[in-house]
Amino acid sequence: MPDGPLIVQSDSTLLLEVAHAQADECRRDVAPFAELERAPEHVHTYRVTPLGLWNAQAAGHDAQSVVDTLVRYSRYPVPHALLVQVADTMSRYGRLQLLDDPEHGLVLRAADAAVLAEVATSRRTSAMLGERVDEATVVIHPSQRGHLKQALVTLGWPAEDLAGYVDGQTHPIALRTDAWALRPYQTQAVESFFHAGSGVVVLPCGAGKTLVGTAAMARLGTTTLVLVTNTVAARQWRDELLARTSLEPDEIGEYSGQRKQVRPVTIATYQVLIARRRRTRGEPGPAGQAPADAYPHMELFDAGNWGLIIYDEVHLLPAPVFRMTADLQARRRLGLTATLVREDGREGEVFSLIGPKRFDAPWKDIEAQGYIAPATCVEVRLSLPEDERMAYAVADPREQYRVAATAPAKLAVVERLVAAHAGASTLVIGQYLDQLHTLAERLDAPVITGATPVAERERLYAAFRCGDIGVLVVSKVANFSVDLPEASVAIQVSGTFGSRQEEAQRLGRILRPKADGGAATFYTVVTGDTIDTEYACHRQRFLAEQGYAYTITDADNL
Amino acid sequence: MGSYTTWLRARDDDALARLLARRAYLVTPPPRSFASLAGRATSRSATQRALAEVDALGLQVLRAALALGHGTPGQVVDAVLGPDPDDDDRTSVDQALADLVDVGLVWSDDDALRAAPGVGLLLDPDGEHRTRATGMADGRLFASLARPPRPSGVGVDPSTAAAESVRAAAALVTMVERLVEAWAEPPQVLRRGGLGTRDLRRTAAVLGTPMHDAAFVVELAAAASLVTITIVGSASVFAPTTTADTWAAGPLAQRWAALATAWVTSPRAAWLVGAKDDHGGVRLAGHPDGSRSWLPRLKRDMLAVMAGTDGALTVEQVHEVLAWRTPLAVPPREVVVALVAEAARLGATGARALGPAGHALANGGDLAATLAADLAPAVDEVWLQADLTGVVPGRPCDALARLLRRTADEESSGGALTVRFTSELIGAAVASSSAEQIIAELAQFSRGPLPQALEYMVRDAGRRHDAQHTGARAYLRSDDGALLTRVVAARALAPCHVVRAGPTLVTASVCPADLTAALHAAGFVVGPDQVADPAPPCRTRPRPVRPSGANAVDIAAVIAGLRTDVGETTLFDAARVRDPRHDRPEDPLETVMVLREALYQVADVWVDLVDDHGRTSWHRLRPVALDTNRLRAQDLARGVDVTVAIGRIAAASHTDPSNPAGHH
Repeated sequence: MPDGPLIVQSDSTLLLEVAHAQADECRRDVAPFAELERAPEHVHTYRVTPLGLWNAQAAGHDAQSVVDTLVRYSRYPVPHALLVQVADTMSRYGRLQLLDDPEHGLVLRAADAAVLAEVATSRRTSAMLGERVDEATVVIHPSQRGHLKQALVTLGWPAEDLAGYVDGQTHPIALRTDAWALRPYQTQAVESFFHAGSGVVVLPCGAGKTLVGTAAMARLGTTTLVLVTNTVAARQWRDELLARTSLEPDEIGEYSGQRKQVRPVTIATYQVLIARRRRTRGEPGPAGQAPADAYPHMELFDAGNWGLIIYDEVHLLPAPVFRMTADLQARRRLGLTATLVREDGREGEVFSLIGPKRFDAPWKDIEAQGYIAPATCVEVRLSLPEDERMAYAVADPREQYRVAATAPAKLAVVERLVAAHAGASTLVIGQYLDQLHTLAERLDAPVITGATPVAERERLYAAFRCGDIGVLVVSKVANFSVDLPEASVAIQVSGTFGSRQEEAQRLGRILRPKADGGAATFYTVVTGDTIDTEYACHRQRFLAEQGYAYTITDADNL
Repeated sequence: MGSYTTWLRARDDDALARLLARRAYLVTPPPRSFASLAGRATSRSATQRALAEVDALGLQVLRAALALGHGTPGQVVDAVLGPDPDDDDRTSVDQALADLVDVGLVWSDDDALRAAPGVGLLLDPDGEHRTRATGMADGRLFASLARPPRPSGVGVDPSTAAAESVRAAAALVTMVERLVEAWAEPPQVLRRGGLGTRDLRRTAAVLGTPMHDAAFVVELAAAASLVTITIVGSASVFAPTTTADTWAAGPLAQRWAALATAWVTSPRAAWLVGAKDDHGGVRLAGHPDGSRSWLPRLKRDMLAVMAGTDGALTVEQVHEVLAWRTPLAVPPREVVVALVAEAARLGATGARALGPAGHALANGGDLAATLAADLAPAVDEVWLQADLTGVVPGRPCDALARLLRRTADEESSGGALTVRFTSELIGAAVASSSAEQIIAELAQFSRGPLPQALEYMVRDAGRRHDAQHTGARAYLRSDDGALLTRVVAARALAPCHVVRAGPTLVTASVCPADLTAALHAAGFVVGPDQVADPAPPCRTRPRPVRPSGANAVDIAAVIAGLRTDVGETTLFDAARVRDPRHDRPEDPLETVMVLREALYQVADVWVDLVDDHGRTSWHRLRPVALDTNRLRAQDLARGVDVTVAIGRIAAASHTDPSNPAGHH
C-alpha cells in the first residue's frame, strides 16, 4: 500500500496531509476536479462534486485521469463507490452538445439517442425543445439556450456549449505594460478563458483578479460590461482600467445608484441592476407579483452590443442577475471569484450560466511565488471588571452582545495595540457607532460610517493609501471591500462580518503584500467569558480554515 | 412391507441425528416415541416446512418418487434423468435423493423408495404425476433437468472487496457503539410496542445516518443483546445491557463478529420499519411484528449463494439462485434487495462481492480472526487543528475513538476519521472529568502541540462548568451503609464535600477520578465501578436468549430416549391384541400417525372408539380420508362408510404392521 499524502473518505472528501513530501504535487493534481473546502495547518480538505468533475471534464481531464490521481496518491484503498461515481458522473458531461447548425441554427445534439429521449420526456426540459431534426438532434430556440443548460445540469446531463458567441462591438483596448507585467498565472488564466469563450477564473484574494479581467478585455478588444458588487469597487475598477490600459476616462461609464452612464466599457453594480422601480401611488400591479419591468436597470444588458460581460465576485451574484444572464448565452462571459462555494448553493447556476471553471491557481502556489502575503490573526481577550460583569449578567439577552462588544475596557486595549504598531497603517473596524466615535476621538483619527458621503470616503481612503492618515476608524456599514494595500494592521473591536466567505474575503482585501514585504496582522478584541467569545470562535474557525495563523492572547500579556 | 415409523426406528443413530438436526422443529419438545416422531414429521405443517427447503432438483426427484409409488432408487433416478445421463447430472440426482432420505421426505420400504406420508397431498393433490409416469415412453418425467443456475459475477478485485467490507464493518461497529452510548438516555417503548418514530429520528440524527440505516442499527443491537427492553421507574424503555459493556471492551474484530453472528441468526426485518402495516399504521423498530422466522435461513442461503460465486452478483442473480433453492417458498424480490443491502452494511460484502469476513460468515469460519487480518493497524495519533477539527489519519485506536466521541462530532469517516470539537460536547465532557484531564488526554494523542484555540475552548468550558455547577459531580454507591457513614465522617474527604444522598449513595463535588483518588488516599477501598457520574449510565441485564433449534437440544439425548422406550417399541409390534382396559392413554399424535399411514398405504387399522357414555369399543376400519377433525373410513365388518370425530378415537393401531391388510 503506498504511503500517499491523500486519504479519500467515503463522503467524497479528500484529506491532504500538508507536510507530506508529495503534498504539492498531489495538490496540483487534485485541484482540477476537487474544490478546496478548508486549509488549516495540517490537513487540507477537498471535496469532489459533480460540478467539480464536470469542470475537470470541460478542461480536458477524463475519468481515468481522475481515478488514476486518486489511486496514485491515496494512502488507503479508495472507496469503490466513489470511483464508480466519478466514472459515472464524468461520462455524463458532453453526451449532449449545443451546436450552431448551418441549416437549423441552434441545436441540441446527443451522442446517444437514449439521453435525448430522457431529456425529451422530462418535465423540466421537454417544453424547451423545438422541432426534431433527426433521432439525435433537436432544434433549440436561442432564447432557451441558458435556461436549457440550467435545467440539464439539474437533470444530471450537463450540455457542452459549443454554439459559439457573437463578437459584439469592436473596441480596441491595449494594456499599458510599461511599468508592470502580467504575472505568469494571470496570462495563463486569460488564455484559458479566451480559448473557451466563457467560464470562471478562480484566484485567491489578492492574486489580481481585476487584472485578469482587464487583460481579457484587451485580448478580445470589444465593448465590455463589468458587473461589480458596489460603487466603491466600481470606482476601483475604473481607476485600474485607466492606469493599466489605453482607455480614456470618457470611454468608461459608471452605472450605479449615483450615475447612469453607458459607454464602451460600462461598470455597473449588482445593487443597481436588482433595484426595483419605486411604484407610484395608484399604479396598478398584480398583487404579490413583480411587474415585468420590476428591474428597470436590467435593460442595460441590451443597451449595447457587448462583446464581453465580466462578473466580479461571481459567488455573490444575485439571483435576478442569474435570470437575466440566462438570456445572454450568446455573449462571452467571464466570472471572477476566489471561491466557487456559494452560501445559497447556486453553484450549478454559475456552472451552467457563466460557464465551467477555466482556471484555478491554488492559494499556496501563489503564496509560494510571493504574490500574496501571509497574514497573522490575533484574538486579544480581556476580562470584564467586576461591575461590568454584573451589568453583562443582568442585561437583556438581546442586549448582551452589545454590552460585551462595547465594553469600555476595549478602548484601552485598542489604544495599546495602535501604539504598539505606531507608524503602521492601521484600520480600526467596528459595528457600533458610539463606540467608533469614542475610539476616533481617543485615537485622534477620522471615522467613516454609512453616513459619510462617497466622495468623502474616497478622499479619506486615498489619504490613507498614500500615508497621510495613519489610523482610520471604519464602521461595518462603510464596508471596507476596497483595496487598501497599505493597511498592515486591522483591529476589529465589534461586529461580525456576516457570511463566511465575506469574512475571509474582506480580510483578504486588506492583507495584500506590503511594499516593505512585511506581513499583515489582524487583531480582534474580544471580551472573555461572554457571548463575544462565541462569535470569535466562529470567526477563528473560518480564518483557520482559510489557512491563516490564529493565536489567542490575554490583554494583560500585550 | 413396513411403515414410516418402522423405517424411522430402523435408521441408525447418525442418520437420525442428521434428520433431527435439519428439522430441528421435530425435537421441541423431545418426542416420546418413534411413532410420535413419525407423526410430527409427516404432519401437514412439518411436511410443508420440509418441502419449503427442498431445491428445484430435489423436488423433481421427490415428484419422481411420488409418481413411481414404490420404485427402486435406480428407477427414481432414471425417471428424473432418462437414459444415458451425464455423470455430473447423475451425481447431483443421487445427492438430491440421499438428501431427501436424510430429511425423511423419502423413505425406503424394503428396496423400494416411497415419498413420506403427506407429501403427495401437498405436492400432487390431483395425483397428476402418477398418471403421467405411466404414460412416458422413455420413463422420463420431466422435459429438462432442474440444474442449479450458475450466474457469473462481475469481476471485483478481491482486495477491493476486502477493503470495502472492512470499511463497512468498522463503520457499523462505530455506529452501534454510538447507539449504545446515546441510549444511556433510554428511549421509551411505545404502548403498542416498538420504538417511536420520533425517537428513531433522534437516534438517526445522533448516528448521523438516514432513518432506515438507524432502524437497522437498532435492530442489530437488539439482536446482539446490546440493548433490550426494560422497566425504568414505571416506564418501559430500550436500554443498553450489561452485555454492551463487555462487548464495548473487546477489540474491534471481536465486536464485529458478535454483530455479524447476531445478524445471521436474527429474524428481524429491519427494512420494514417506516413502511405501512396491514392496519395502515407505521411499522416501528423493535416492534414484535417485525420478526420473520424464515429470515435466518434465507440469510444463510444468500451468503451460500454469494460464497459459491466469484465476483459480485446482481440482486437478480442472487434471487434467481435463491428461487431455485426453494421453489416452493421463493423469497420476495424486495426481501432479497433488503438483505443484499444489509449484508453490505454489515460488511459481509464489499463492492457487492463477499469479502473474506463474509466468506467466514458463510462458511462458519473464525469471524474475528478473518476480519482482524484485513484491518489496517489502529492509529493512536490525531492531527488537532486551529479550526477546531481533528483528523485521525487511519482507524483510531479504541481509547482515542472514545475520547473523540466524547468531545467532538464526527464529520467524515472512511480511510480517516475527521471530527469537529464543539463547545457543547466539550462542556459535557468536562462535567464528567475536568478541563485539565481532557487537555492531558488530547495532548497524549496529539501529533504536535495542542492548538491554542482548542486548549482555550476546553478551559473556557471548564470555567463555565465550574461557575454553573456547585452541586454533585460524582457519586459513590455501596450497599455497605457503615462504609458510607465513615466516608461522610472522614476529615480527609472534607474538600470533596461528600454528602449522604441516600441509604446506599454519597455524592461529592469533585469529578469521579478525583473522588476515587481522595478515597484511596484516605484509606478506603472502593472499586472503580462504585464511583460514577451523577447520572449513572442505565444498564440492564440482557434477556436470556431462549434456546431454539436443534443446537439447543441435545440430539443425542433425544435419540437415546427414543431407543430406550421399550414400551413404545412393543406398541406397534405385530399382531398385538390390545385391551383398552389395560392400555395407558395414547399420544394423540401417534394415533393420527397410525391413521395417516393406513390411509396412505390403504391398510386397515384397529380403532378404539369412545361412545356417548364413555364406553370404548374396538373397530376394524379402512381410512378413506382424514382431516384435522374427522376420519372417514369404511367399516369392513358392517360394510358401511363411517365418519368419526378424531376426538372420539382413544387409540389406533395397525392390524398387521409387517403386512398391512389391503395394501395395493
